[in-house]
Amino acid sequence: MAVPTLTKEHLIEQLEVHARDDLGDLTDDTELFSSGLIDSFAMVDLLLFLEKHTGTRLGPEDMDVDNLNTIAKILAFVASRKRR
Amino acid sequence: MSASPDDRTLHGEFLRAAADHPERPALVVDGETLSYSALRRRALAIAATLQGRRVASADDHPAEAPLTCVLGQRSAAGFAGILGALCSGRGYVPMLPSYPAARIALMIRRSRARELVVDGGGLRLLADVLAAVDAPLRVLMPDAAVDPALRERFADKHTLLGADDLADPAAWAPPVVSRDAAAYLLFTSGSTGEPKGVAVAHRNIVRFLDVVRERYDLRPEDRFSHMFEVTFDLSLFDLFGAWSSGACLCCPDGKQRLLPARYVGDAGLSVWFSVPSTALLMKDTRTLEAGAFPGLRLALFCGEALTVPVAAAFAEAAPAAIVENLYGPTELTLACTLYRYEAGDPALADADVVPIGAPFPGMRAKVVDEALREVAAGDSGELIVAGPQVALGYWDDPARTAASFVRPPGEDALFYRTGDRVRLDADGVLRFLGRLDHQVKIRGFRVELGEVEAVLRREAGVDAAVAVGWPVTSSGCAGGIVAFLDDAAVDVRALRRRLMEHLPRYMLPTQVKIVDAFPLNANGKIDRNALRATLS
Repeated sequence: MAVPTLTKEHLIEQLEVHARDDLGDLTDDTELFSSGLIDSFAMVDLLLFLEKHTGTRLGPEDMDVDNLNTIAKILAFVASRKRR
Repeated sequence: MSASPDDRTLHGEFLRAAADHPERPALVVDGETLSYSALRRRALAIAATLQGRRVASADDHPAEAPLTCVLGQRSAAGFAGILGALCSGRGYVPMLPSYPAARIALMIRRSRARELVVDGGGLRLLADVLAAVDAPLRVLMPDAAVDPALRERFADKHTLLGADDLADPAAWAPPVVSRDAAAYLLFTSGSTGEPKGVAVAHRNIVRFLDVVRERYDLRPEDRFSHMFEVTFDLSLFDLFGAWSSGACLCCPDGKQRLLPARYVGDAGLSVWFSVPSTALLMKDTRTLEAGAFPGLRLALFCGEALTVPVAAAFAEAAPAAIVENLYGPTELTLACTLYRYEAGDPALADADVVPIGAPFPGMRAKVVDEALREVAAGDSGELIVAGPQVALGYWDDPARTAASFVRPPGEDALFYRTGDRVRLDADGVLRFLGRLDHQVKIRGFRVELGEVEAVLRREAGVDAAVAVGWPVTSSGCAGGIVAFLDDAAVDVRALRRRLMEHLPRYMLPTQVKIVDAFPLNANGKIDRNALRATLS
C-alpha cells in the first residue's frame, strides 16, 4: 500500500493545532516538546499521524523525545522508518 | 519549636520534617539533589530577606495576612521561594513563566502582594511584569544577579534584590501565623472574564495533609512524582505530602515529562499522583505496559474523570499499588472524596468512569436541589460539602464568596457549592454526572468558558462569542476549546496572537470558527449544542 509522503508543510500544519505559541518563527531545529511549545498531550496525535505516514505501527521504544523534538528529527525519523 | 495540634502551619510541617531528617533528600530538580537541611537553608535565606521589611504579627487580620507572589517553575529557587514566603509568615501566590506578562501583573495587582520572588525561568518576563504593576514591589531573585539596567529603569518604583542581597538564614525569626491565615492563594478561571483567587487557610491544608499521611502511611523512604504545575492546587499533595513526611519530591525535566512512564522507573518513584489524562497519554503512547511499575505503592488520580479502562491499565502496570480516584475543587483543599479502584469491583461492572466515592474523614457531602434541600436518595443534584477543608473563600470578593459558601436550611455548617451534578447511590457511593454550568475540565484545568468568551469579545471587538469544550470524551472531559464568532471581518491569526497575551496556554482556543449567524434555541439564546454539532 502506498504511504503518503510527509512534507514539512503538512507536518507544521499538524503541529499547529497543538501549538501554544505562534509557529511563524519555527525553524527545523526549534525544540518542540522539551521547550513546552507543544503540549506533551499532542504526542498521541503525532504518534497516530506518523503511523499513517510511515505505514508502520510505532511502539514504546519509538516514544523517544530525541526522535520527535524538532521538525528535522521528525522528518528524519519518518524517512528512516519508511526505508525498513 | 513545639506547636500544639491546633496552631500547626504548612511551613511548620516542613520545618518539623527538616529537623527530623536533615540529611535525607527533599528535592530532586534539574539534576541536583537537595537535602532537607540544604532546602531549609535556602528557604530561610529568602524568608529572612522578606522579613527584613515587615514581619507578620498576631495583630494582622487572619484573612489579611500578607501574600508573596512566586514566579517560577520546577526550580530549586522556585520551591525555596514558596517555602521562604511561608516561613516568613506570608501566604504564597504561585505564577508560571509560561503565563502572559499581562496576566501575571493582573494576579499581582489582585492579590495586593508587595513582594515577588522570581526564579531563573521568570527573569525574561520581569521587565514587562514590573512595567505593568504600579504599586511598589520588592522583587527577590534568589539565584541571579540584578541586571543594572533593569534596576535603573525601575529605580523610583520597585526594589530589586539579587542573590548577593539575600539575608543570612540565621537572621530568620519564626513568625506568628494564625491557622486561619491564607497559606496560599490560587487563581482559577472566573466566568466573568477575570481569574478569581481562592484563599486556602493553614488549617485547611494541614488537615488535608493529616488525612492523606495517615491514610497512605506516607514515609521518609517515599519518592513522590511531581507532574503538576505549582499553580494547580493538586501540586500541594506532591510538595507537602513529601515535605511533611521527610520524603523526596522528584521533578521530571522537560524531556522526562514527555515520557512519564519511563520516568516512574528512572526516578524510582513510590508515589504517583497525576490527572487521569497523563495515564491516558501513557496508555495511548503504548508505554503503560503490564508490570511496568513494580516500585509504585500508591497511584492516585484527581482533577477530572478517571475512566475504568485507564484505571484498570494503570492497576495492571503497578500491581503492588493502591489505585484511588480522588475528587475535589480548590475550594475544598485539593480533594475531599475518594474511591478505591479494584479489579472485579461489581460497582464498576457497567460503569464508564470510576465513582468519586465517599467523603474524607470529617467531611460531609450532601446532594441538593436549587433551594439547597436534600434530594431523594438516588436522584441527581448539586454536590455541596462541609467540613474542615472548606477554604476561606474568594480573595477580595465577598459577593462571590457568599454565593458559593452557604448554609443550607437547618444547617449551621458552611457548605461549598461545587457546581457539580452528582448522584448518591444506595451503596453510599457518589457518582459524578457533569457540570451545572459552563465550566469544562481540560486535563484537570478548570476553565470557565465565560472567561474565554469575555476575552474573545474584548480582543475581537465583537458583541457575541461562544466557546465550547471540544472534543468531549465519553467521561465528559474536553480535549480543548473551539471558539465561534459571527463576524467575518475578524482577522483570526491576529486575534490568536492577542489571545496569547491574555490567556494561559490551556485556555487558548485550538480553533476559531467564523459562522454566518449564531443558531438560537427556543428561548432565543445562542444554541451551544447546535454549534457543537457542526464540529463532529
